[in-house]
Amino acid sequence: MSKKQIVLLALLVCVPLAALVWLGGRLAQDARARLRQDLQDVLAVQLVDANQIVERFFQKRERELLHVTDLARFDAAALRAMVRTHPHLLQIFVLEPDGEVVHPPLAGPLNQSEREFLERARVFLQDKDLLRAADPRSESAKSAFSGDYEQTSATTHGWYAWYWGRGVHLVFWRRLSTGYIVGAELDRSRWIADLIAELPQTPLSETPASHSRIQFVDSNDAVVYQWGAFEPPSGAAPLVEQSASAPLSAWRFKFYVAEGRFSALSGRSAAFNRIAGLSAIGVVLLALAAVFYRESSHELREAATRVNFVNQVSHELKTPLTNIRMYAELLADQMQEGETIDVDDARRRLAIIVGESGRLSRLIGNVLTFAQQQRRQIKLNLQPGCIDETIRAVIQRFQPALQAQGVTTTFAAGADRVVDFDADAVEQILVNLFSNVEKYAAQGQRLDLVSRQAGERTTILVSDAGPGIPTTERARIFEPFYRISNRLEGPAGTGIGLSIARGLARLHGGDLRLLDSASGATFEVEMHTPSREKSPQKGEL
Amino acid sequence: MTRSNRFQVLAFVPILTVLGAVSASAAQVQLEVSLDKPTMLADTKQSAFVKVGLTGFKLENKDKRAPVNVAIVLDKSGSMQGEKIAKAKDAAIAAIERLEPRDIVSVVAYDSTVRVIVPATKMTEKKSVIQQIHRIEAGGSTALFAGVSKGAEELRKFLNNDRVNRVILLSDGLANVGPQSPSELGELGASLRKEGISVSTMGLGLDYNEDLMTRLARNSGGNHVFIEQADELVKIFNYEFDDVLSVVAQEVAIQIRVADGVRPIRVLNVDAEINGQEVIVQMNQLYSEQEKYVMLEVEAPATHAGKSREIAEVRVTYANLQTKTTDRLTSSVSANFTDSVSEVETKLNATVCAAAVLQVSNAQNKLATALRDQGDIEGARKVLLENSEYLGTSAVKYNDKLLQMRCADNLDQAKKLEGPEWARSRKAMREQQIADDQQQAYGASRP
Repeated sequence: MSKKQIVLLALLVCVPLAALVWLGGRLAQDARARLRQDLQDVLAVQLVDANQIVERFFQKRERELLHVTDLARFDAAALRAMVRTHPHLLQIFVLEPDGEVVHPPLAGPLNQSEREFLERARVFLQDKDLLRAADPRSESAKSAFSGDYEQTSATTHGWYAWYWGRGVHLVFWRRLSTGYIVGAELDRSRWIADLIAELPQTPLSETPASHSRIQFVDSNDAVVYQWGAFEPPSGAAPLVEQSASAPLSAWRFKFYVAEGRFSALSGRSAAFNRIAGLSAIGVVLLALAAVFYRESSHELREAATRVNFVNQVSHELKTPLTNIRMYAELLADQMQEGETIDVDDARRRLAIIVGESGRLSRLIGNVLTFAQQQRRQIKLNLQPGCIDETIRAVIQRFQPALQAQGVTTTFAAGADRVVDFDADAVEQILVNLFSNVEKYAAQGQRLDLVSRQAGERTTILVSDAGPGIPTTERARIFEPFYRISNRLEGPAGTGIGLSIARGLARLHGGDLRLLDSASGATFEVEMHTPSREKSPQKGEL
Repeated sequence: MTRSNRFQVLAFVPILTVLGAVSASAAQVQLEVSLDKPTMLADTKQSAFVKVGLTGFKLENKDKRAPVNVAIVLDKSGSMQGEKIAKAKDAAIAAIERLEPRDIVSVVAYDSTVRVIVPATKMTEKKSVIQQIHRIEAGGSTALFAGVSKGAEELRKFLNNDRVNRVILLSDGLANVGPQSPSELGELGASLRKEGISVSTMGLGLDYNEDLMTRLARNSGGNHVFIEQADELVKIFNYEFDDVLSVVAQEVAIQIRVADGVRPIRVLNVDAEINGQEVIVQMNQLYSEQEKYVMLEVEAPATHAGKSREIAEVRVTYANLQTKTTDRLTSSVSANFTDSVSEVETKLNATVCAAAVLQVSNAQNKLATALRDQGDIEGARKVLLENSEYLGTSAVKYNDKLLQMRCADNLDQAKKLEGPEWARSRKAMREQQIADDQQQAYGASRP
């Protein structure tokens, strides 16, 4: 197979395969994107749950603080005692309707934490920022500054978030019916701690949460709290994010999921089906390519075998032709020069010419038979006769050549019944087997023949003591054109002898087999030979 | 109870019957308000120290101790790996072994995240609690704030003022997940104290943040201890549990009403709320036979000789864990005035004077730490050396062993303001400062 063809074949396979892989990849990518979206939706629900904890927490604080800030009197001692005992309060303050500070008592005496409070709260006390936020007529009262929930048109309370130091600080304000505003500054560490206490923990045992991590981050993107055993690599982007509800709207939840877990969650079967489909198509393509390759290389091999066959036949024809021509020319020369012709010598030369001609015609007969076999045109010509006689005739014919090589022939005859058979076919079978012995097994110096008849079957065994046939070759020797050695310098041969012999044997209702033998080779020819006596013949009727 | 104890109780039966009234008051916290100078120099404005001392009554019987509600919060971050976590587990288990079925324990472990290893459980399930502790393995960062938050939440499940509610926090590293500044942890501590939860903090090794750990402990009324070697953990946990198991009173509210004309200047050793003439201090717990005190500095006005002047009146309320009642105590202190300097000297109250010296020098010691933090090594050294001298003189004058010890400590600290020794020394200083502030019963720097 030429390089060009191989390249073409490879392209033919690779291009569709690559296209398939690309398409599969795209499909998988699409599916993953869709899945990611689905997953994000699922995870977003979890974040909504987490955020609900935050919402409920501030609703609870709000109820508490509504109670705390419901003051009839602004007694400093009572307010201080409240701050002292209420775990969530850092400070309580009271403003007049116009924003003037009533508590802490500016006229004094102030304790240290009150002084610190006035210092840090200056922004919203002096600038009346909180007052504007708490003003029911103002726009900002309805803005995100204060809590969005539980806000009616006549806003009487809400959250005020202001930033100093480490971040957001929360003040709950309430406008009393008198117009006074009571504010409660929450202990920042405490509400963070309480939120943490309410949010989930990392579970002890393996759960889906073991492969994820939810972070609760503040407005500076610093982690305040996190749970889930999965440790996201630094710089990883969260799969889902969600802002917390007011008053913590600057804080966010971030959801991280282990990448491996993500694909595991992604419905393994769908991906598997896709991959299986793609690989099936790939396998079919590869199989087709293999078949194509085999077919084409088989044809090429067959063509090569035919060329080889023609070479062999030519070689085969050349030897007897050369001999015939040489001896014929010698005779012609002797006759022309008028020499006295030695009769014995001439007879010997003529015998050679006749022998070589026989070999030629056998050879040509073989080739013709083979051609006929290929076209299934052979017909047997069944005639009554004795098979042993046919065998003896062939032995007779081969005797000189075999004797010349020192081969002793024995024949145990056992097929002397008159049966219907094609003598030419039997002869051709035997000639092919004998010539194999002559060519390849002469060194064994033996050729043993056995014939027998049982019922309508006749068997002929042809054994030699030559080198035998290697086990690996046994199956192939009957294939046309097959030769154990294809070298031209070895014994000449066409590689069709055994193929023809077997074809004829089978045509004769039997077979040609190579039997197992300790040494040399033993071929068994089996034929269907109906007996003349038992089956009445047309001619005799 | 041993046999000899039982014998003692039997022997005292007749006396107890006679002194019935006395024995009832014996289950009371002792309030003692005293001045360093009960007799002051006349006709001059002067400062004086008022010591408000509260001594827990003796816990007669171990079985009568208040049940405890303890959350053990363990740092299991990567730095705890190996011996530290192993010893910490041993220590926690050894401590838990001492608890009784009526006690409640929870165990929380934190690294980058928090796991509640044992939710608040009655100690009837001791075995399974110990099993869970054994499973803790170290690895990760340090979410200290979240660990304390979850620990406190476990306490809240059984929060009750009949129980001693305490978080015991062990950490060997810097908090690096969540709120992590000393002020934030201090704020959390103060808020927890309002609920009756105190946090004892144990700093292990040389890498924890001592400011954060002391602020958290001090503001919540818990103990703090610097543990240099993990070997000491079992011992320290035992000390801590000795403390927890000997609490006799809690939710202690002290109101000092400073007399008109007398001006409150400052409270030296604890955080107090000073509203004009009123000084308010909250203490979380009082322990059996231990004195805790508040050292208040006041300025007394010029008063004529021969006169007596009330300096302060003190009211205390507390939850008595023995009787399960809220008890009230009141007391007041007055000063006499004289022209004789020697009389002032001879009438000095040595105990109060020594305590005042300890607190003044402690404030100076904190100043030295602050100076060193600003990089003023020389300034810090000068303060410590002067402090040492002051302590030395006073120790002799008032014959006080603790002052003697602090004299040596300050001198030693003056030598360790630089180089690799500073990190360790700073932790020891912080531990000593908080121990002196709140008269902590144990710790490496106690005599």
